[in-house]
Amino acid sequence: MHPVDEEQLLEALRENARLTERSLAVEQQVTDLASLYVAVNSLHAATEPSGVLAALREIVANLVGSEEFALFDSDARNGHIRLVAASGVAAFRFEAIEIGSGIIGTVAETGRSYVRREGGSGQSGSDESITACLPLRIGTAVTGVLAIFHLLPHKGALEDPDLDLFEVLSAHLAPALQFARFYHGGRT
Amino acid sequence: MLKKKILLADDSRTALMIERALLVGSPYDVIVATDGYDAVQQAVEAHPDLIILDVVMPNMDGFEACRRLRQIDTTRDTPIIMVTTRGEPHNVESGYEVGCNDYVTKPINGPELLSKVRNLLGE
Repeated sequence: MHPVDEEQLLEALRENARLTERSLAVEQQVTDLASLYVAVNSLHAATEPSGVLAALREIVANLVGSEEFALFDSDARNGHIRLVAASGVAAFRFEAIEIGSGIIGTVAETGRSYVRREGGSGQSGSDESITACLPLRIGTAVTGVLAIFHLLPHKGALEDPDLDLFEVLSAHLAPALQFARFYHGGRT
Repeated sequence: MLKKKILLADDSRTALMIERALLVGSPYDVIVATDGYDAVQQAVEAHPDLIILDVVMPNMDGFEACRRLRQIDTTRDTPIIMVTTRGEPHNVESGYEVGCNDYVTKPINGPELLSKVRNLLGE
């Protein structure tokens, strides 16, 4: 029997630790990429507006980690935004939002996302409770806004992959909803 | 080598897609159920090595499905991971009370889920 070479053993342990770390990083990367794929696929698979909203509800709950959101159409001609759907927050809070007013109105006006990494706090539906407010684009035009409010308690805070997911929602939610409206409208 | 079989039970399309994407990349065969009743049926018929059970499902929720699985001889000892949207202690306790072995919360953390799967499968 050969005596154990201590240095070789230590090197093997270090290599094992490196491989474990790399394996975990790959698994996390697979999760992150799968989330983006699932989000895009779910939104574009829907052929009715209600299907897009159901997909959005699942994405917000299962991928972002929130049960509160509000979706708006932007009516630039009349200077306000109109609530399309709300989940987990009272709809009356969003009856009259002018473009340029508050976080939601500002996002509609500027087309720039608002993100609070630590998550929103305060009364549900208030500006303080917004975790992310995203412009929804078709091409370069902002056609709506998605506001995501409190995060689930165990979620804690947003991480970098969440920001990638927000980019996907910003680019794909409005086209998916528009397609579903046309497709469903053409069939009924 | 015979692949281990995992039963995924969730009514959410997005959750199923994420879980499948994670598990299919590993050496597992994955079968799917979309409600608690279907999960119990499939578990009895397909004899999975492990079950991943969402709490909120139509027809029969995950807690009830878990309770029933623990009353059936062939699934009594099958490892079960519960998936909850809320990680509050009372939800977790309810899961353990009905016989689950472990739990994860949504949004799914891939490395965490895979680690728990491997641990329960003795890998």
